[in-house]
Amino acid sequence: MLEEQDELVVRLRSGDRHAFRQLVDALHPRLLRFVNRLCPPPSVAEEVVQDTWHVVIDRLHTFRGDSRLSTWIFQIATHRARTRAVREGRYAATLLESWDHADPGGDGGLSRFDSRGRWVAPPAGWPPDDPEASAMHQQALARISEVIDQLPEAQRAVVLLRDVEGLDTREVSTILGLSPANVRVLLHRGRHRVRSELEAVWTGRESC
Amino acid sequence: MLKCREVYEIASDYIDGDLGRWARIQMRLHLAMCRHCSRLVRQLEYGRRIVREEAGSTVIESASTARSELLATYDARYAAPSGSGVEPPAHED
Repeated sequence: MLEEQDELVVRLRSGDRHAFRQLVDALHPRLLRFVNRLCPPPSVAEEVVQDTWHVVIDRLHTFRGDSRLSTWIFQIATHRARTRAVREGRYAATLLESWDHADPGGDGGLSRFDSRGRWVAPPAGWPPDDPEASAMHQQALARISEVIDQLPEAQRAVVLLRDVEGLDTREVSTILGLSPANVRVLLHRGRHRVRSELEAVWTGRESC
Repeated sequence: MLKCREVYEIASDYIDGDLGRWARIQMRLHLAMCRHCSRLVRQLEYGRRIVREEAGSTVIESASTARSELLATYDARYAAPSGSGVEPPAHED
């Protein structure tokens, strides 16, 4: 894998436009999908991703191979998206600030337990064995986009990178400049929020 | 024996397979006996799947000129001498 990457980087640095085109084809849609969730609308996301590729082209010679090439490119895209969003006053200057401001009380999950660590408000009995076959799944699917967009920024970024892009904790940590422990906490909080919102859809109750 | 509150705290790591061996065994023991926590884990797994499904169905169209502009920028930066074979060779029978 690393040898393949080394070879790709050599080809990119030597002006192999076929290699560059393949890289763009593979990553551009993923970058656009991710950046659009951090810095919408799509027209702005497109500008950010184009800008990202220009940085990649300019700085290809500085890539040292400490991470995967795709991780490095996602890192640049995230930085450009945050810079744009912060400039427009949408986010706090750092992800950790955004985390603290947007989510001071964590996911509130501990209020679900009594002093002996037992459930006070246990999860309801959903989903059924094959949830994707249920009509309710379509309702949940229709709601989930809004749920993701309403997550605090840092949680949203971590959930998207882990659960949509399939990156591991270390890669996400590199991309977002957070410790692996912070990434795990953010993922925990984001997933429990998603679960809570899905529970509201599946049970028809208000989320908590 | 893990408490339900502790299961709640590590359930996200559990569905990723990120727990150590001992914690994983404790988790499985707890889940075998606790209906509530089993539901929690199944719901988190379902949440992970549906987030991926929704995002996977999202396609944002790029401007048609975007890619050609990028290729032009790349060529300008890394322009190889003519005849260096930067394009893949044409298939020859």
